[in-house]
This record gives sequence, C-alpha cells and structure tokens, in this order.
Amino acid sequence: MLRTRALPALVALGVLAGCAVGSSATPASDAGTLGAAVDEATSAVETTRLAARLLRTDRASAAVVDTTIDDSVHVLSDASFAVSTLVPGGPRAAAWRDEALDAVNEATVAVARARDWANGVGDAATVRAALDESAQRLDDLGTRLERAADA
Amino acid sequence: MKRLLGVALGILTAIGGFLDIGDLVTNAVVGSRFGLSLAWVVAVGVVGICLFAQMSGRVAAVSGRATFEIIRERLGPRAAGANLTASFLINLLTLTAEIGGIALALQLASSVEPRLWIPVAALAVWLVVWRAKFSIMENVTGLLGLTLVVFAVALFLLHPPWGELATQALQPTVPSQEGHASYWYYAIALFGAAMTPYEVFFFSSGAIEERWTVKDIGQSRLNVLVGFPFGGVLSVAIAACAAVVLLPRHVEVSSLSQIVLPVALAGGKLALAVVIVGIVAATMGAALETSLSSGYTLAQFFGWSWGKFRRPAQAARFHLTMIVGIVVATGVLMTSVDPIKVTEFSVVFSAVALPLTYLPILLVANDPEYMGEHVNGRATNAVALVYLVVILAASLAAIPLMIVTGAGS
Repeated sequence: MLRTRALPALVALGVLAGCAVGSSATPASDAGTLGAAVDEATSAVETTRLAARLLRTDRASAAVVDTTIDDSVHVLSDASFAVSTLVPGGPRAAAWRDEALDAVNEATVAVARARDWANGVGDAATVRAALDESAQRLDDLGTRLERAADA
Repeated sequence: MKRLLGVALGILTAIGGFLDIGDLVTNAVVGSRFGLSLAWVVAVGVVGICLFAQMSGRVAAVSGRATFEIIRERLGPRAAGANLTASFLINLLTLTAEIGGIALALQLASSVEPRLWIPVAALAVWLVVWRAKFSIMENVTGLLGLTLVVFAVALFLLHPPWGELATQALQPTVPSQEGHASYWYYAIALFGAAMTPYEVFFFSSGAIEERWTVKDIGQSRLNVLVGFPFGGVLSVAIAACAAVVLLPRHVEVSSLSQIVLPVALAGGKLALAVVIVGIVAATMGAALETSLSSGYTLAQFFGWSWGKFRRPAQAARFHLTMIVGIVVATGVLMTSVDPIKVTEFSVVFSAVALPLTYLPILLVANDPEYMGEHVNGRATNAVALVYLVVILAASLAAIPLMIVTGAGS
C-alpha cells in the first residue's frame, strides 16, 4: 500500500526536480540553444539589410521598410530573451552566452539605427557598415556554435 | 457567351480565392527554410481540396443540403455536436488569423500599428457580410486576390536557378540544417493550409446560396479542377520567391513584411503595391468566408434559418453568430497575440480536424438515398480512400509533431 502511494509521489518529485532552476546541460546543448538564438538574430539583421537595400534603391516604400525593420526589432528582442535567460552548464557555455548577448545587443543597435535612417534620421553609409559588421559577427559566432553543438 | 463568361468568372474567382493568410505564411516559411523540397505537399493538398470541394459541392447541388445539415443527419446530434464544437473552434481560429492578416497587410501600406487596424478590419468584414450580395462579395475579393499572380511574375523577374529549383521540387530531401520532424511538421502545416475545412463549409453552403442544381455540377467541377490547381501554382510561386531570395540570406520568415520583400526586389514599388492589394483582398475574402462559415455551421446544425439570400432579420441567429465570431476574433487579436503565430496554429489544427468533415461527406457522396445516380464513381472512391488514409495520418501525427518540434521552431 505504502509502495503504491510512494511511487506517484516519487514520479511527481522527479518531474518537479526536472523543472527546477539550474542547469545540468552539456556544452553541446547550450551551444545548440545559443546557436538557435543567434540564427534568429542573423535572420533579423539580414532582413533589415535587404529592406535597407530596397529603400536605398527606391524599390520599396518607407512604410514597408519601417514595418519590416520594426518586425526585426521584435525578433531580436526574442533572441535576446532566449540568450539572457539561458543558465549555462559551465564556464565555456557562460563565455558563449556573454558573447552571444553582446552580438545580439550590437545587432539590436544596428537595426534600431537602420529604422532611424528609414525615417529620415542618420546616414546611409554608417547604417550599412553597422549592419554588415553585425551580420559578419553573428555569422562567425553562429558557425562556431554550430560546430560546438555538433561536437 | 454569358455562360462562358460565367465559367471564366468562376474559375478566376476560384484561383484568386484559393490563397489566404495560411497559404501565404506557410508557403513563405517553408520556402525560406526548406526551399522547394515540400512543393510536393502543395500538389497533394490541391488534389485533396479538389476532391473534397467537388464532392461537397455535388452533394449540396444534388441533395440540397449543406455540410453540417448532413453531418447531423448522418452522425446523430451527440457525435455531430462534438464535430461541430471542434470545427467551429478551428474556424474561429482561422477567422482570427484572417482578420489579423488584413491588419498586418494594412500596416504594410501605412506603417500604422496593426492593433489600430484590427477594429477597422473587423468592422469592414461585418459590414460586407451584413450588406453585400453573396455573388458580389465572392467575385470582388476573388478577382482582386488574382493580383497575387505578382508572386509568379516576381519569380520570373528574379531569374532564379530553374534547374536547382526543379531538383529541389522533384527530388525532395530534408535540408542538412533541418530535422526530419520539422520537415514532416511543415508538410502537415502545408497540407492543412491547402485543405482548410472552412473552404468546404463555404463551398457547399455557397452552392445552396447560389441555388445550384444538378445542371450546375459540371460548372462547379470545372471551377474546382481548373481554379484550385492554378491557386496551387501561386502557392508554389510564393515558396519559390522565398527560396530564391530569403533562404540564401538565412532569413527565416516570421512576419508578413518579409513575405513581400522578394516581390519588391523583383518588381519595385509597383509590384509591392500590387502584392499588398492582393494580400488585403485574399485575407479579406477568407475573413468573409470564415465569418460566414461560423454562421453556416451553427445554423445548419441547429436548423436555424440561414443564408445571405435572406434578409438579416429573417436569419437573425445566423447573423448574430457571425457578429459574435468577429467580436471574439477581434478581442483575441487585441490582446497583442501575434497573428502569424495564430495562423501557424490554425493551419495545423485544420489538418487535425479535417477527418471530422471529410468522412461524413465521403459517406454521403456514396449514399444513393441522398445522391441518386450522382454517387461517387469507382475512380473517385479509389482516390478518396487514399486521401482518407492521408488525412487520418496527418491528423494523428500533427499534435505529436507539434510537441516534438516546439511548433516547428
């Protein structure tokens, strides 16, 4: 009888323990999680680069470009949340997390400045350079994280 | 000549009316992640919706009864009630996605926040279902929806690597960066987007609205068999535009604004304006169809007076249901829920609910008591049985795959 009652209690305890704050993740799984967030940020920056190019070449209206960049800001906000809420499993993953957070924040600034430019504030060349630099950094980091996740 | 024009108009509105927010979003998402390796699902979905719509249209024309009247007769009130609840809720989810889609498209035209457009879109939907004639409503949105042909034009202007696209479509493989579970999850989403149940509620009830008889079966078959495949071609064009422009740039589609970028790149501001008109028309048309479908399903089940051919005062509960549906959808959207997420869920749940309406229609289409000499032929039944298996498999696999893949993320 005691055993019958104890078993569900133990199962419930096990489930709750699995949901507890803290991390027993491996570096590979942390790299996978961070890699997914960096991919999201890459998508947002590349979308903004394309939208900015369309505005520069007069192929898209300011309204469409503004909306596109606004959507990219939301994507970056989700990516930033995913990175900043990761509890790393060790110092290596913590370093990746910090680097990813830095890269996503830099991307957010570049995209926000692109939106300013689309609304008539700022200089096209500076915006373009910042977006290119951010895209390159995210690409490098994404490649490293992908390798670490596959290792 | 008049008859020929009628046939042409029917086909054109079937093409223009084929696409909705579910098709737009799902095809673009799939194109940006899987290239054209899931184009075969669009073909499977188009054949399925042709079969399903053709059967339900024939049943309505011959028996004079629409889908939910038949479901209640065949399944009895209890089982049919469960069926109604599931179908009604999924239709409401689709209505929410469509109204959200109108608001997002209007945001693209104005850069005004979608939450300010949502009440405007909802009011416009209600005014049209309240005031406009059925044929005008169907033809105007269908013909304006044809402007989405601009996706196919854009594809040609982009000078894509045709050979590579053909290889992706004809020798489909799961891309290395994607898992098999995600591939099959999106296959079901695409299938659900092509075979949305509301299309069938609307098609069969529309047959009663337009007073089809046995004489009209030929024309309805032609509309479906020509119009829907062309709609499917437009679906593939949307995916191909995303595959050519967004996939190489590592852009994963998560908003409506990204879907129009390939068109702008190919055709500039004019093409962009045309595609926005097309998206507003397609989502507006689908919002009208889903609003009406909510009224049709409930009214047909409870035996209330229904139809746009009646004045609103003569079909008060039918109109009240639509108003409540529109208000609920608006309320959900005003909570700031992402309409694109609602769309993604609505297409998957459409696939889940598909057997609920497909099976009763298939049974009635084979019942000589209802259909007389117009029962399904052997060839139709063979294809219909294959599809029954496909629909059941998609329905059973959809939720487990949604859980395993984190809704495809």
